Amino acid sequence: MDTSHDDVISLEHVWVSYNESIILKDISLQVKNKDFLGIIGPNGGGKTTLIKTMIGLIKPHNGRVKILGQDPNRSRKHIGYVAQKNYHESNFPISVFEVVRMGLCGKKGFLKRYSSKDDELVLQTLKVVGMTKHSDKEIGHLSGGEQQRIFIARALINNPKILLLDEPDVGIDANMQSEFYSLLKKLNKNMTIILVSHDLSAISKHVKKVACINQEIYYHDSKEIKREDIEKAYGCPIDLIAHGVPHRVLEEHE
Amino acid sequence: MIEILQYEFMQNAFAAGILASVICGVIGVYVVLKRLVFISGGIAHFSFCGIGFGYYSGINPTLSTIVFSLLAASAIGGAKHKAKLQEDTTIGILWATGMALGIIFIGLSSEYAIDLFSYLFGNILAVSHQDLIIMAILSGIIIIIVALFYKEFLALSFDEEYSTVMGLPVQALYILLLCLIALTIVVLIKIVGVILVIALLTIPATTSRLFSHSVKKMMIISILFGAIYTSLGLTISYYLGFASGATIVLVSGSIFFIILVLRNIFHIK
Repeated sequence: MDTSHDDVISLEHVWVSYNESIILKDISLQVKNKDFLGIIGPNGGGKTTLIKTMIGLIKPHNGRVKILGQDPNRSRKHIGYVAQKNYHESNFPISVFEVVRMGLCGKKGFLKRYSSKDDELVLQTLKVVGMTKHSDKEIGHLSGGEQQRIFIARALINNPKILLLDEPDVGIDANMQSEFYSLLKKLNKNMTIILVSHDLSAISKHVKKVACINQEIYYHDSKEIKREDIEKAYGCPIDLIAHGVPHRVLEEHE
Repeated sequence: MIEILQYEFMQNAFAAGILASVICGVIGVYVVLKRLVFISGGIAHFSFCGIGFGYYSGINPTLSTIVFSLLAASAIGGAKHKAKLQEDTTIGILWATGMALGIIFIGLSSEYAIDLFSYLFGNILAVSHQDLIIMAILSGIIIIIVALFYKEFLALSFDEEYSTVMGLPVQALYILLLCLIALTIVVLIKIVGVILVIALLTIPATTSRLFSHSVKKMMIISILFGAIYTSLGLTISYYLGFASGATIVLVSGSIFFIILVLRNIFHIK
């Protein structure tokens, strides 16, 4: 597998297993700068594991992961990460403003307080995701879609080069979804985005490239996914209808 | 009220109650928000072997309790991401073996453990001037560390995974937080004893959550509730001749439930 210069993410023959069962099998994947990659696959197929491996939360027992040419633990500061579940306690007494500002905690350094410049940056970032008016609200009082935007803001505040989103569209209704994807499209002008989703039609409409994963990866550095790949990955025939789109996810069925 | 303050042991008791309220107010908020109640119970019960060791070896039991509770906190914090055992199993084992060790140590010591009961259930009336000084120093350490690492502890309690992603030394911070809980427990054992410690770590913070929308406010209001609970409990125990630790816990629990019921009646959000 050749690794070229503009690969922001590069996985080479990555194997991950947990309790002796294999989750990811010989994954090789190159993601180029400013790509917008959608990752689909069945539940338990390893989508979240793949994302967590990219960010270094899970160590592969074989193979190499490089982010911007470095080990994920070193290049993590360039990654914005939005986790799948908002595992945060919704009863936690914290304001939207504080959640977003928390994104700065890592690079702020110990024994330093947040400055008024930091606070200004928080407000600017909230503006990007259109959530300024909720700044003082408790995070638990927001809807799922609004919370998602807040967590994206927290990921964006460090001006990352890569944005990793794990099922960000769960709990978002159809109206908010198109708004949400247009926000991502805007962000994609400045950063590489990788998005995990179970929603194939949403993915097909908005991303530039698609990878399908179920232990193994099916990826052709394009938006094309072969029907047999999908069927292999999902283990059954899948009807994929991309709604009124000029491009398609599946090649023409013969 | 004035009359009971003329005795030195009562003055000490009230001072101890206020000190305990301050650290419970601060640390209890983390215990409640990060759901460390069971872990705190484990550390408290494990520290009983520190008390036993103090008797056995002739060392001041407070000092040996500090050492043993810090050991328990580090062990639990250190095992979190490494041990194959589930965390609650580890804690359960520490909980019981600590108590058992304490009992063996006390059995081995020649001296008859006359105030053993006060370590189990607390005896705020027996707080000496020297105890107060130790408590004040421990409280000072706890408050300073929380002030220094406030933003890191906030990130850790709210979202541990994201803290890792941001490159915070999550495990070290977690162990530090558990050590602060351990020190808090050492102070609280004097007042309510090993078995009732959990009440002061949870009830003031839980009450204050009903009235606060930020962690800082929650801490301040929690301190106020703690002070009310301990002072009121102490006063009632003095006039009725009840055990002080148990009375403080019962007063805390009762006031909490009354507030909860009133809120539900008046539908206050």
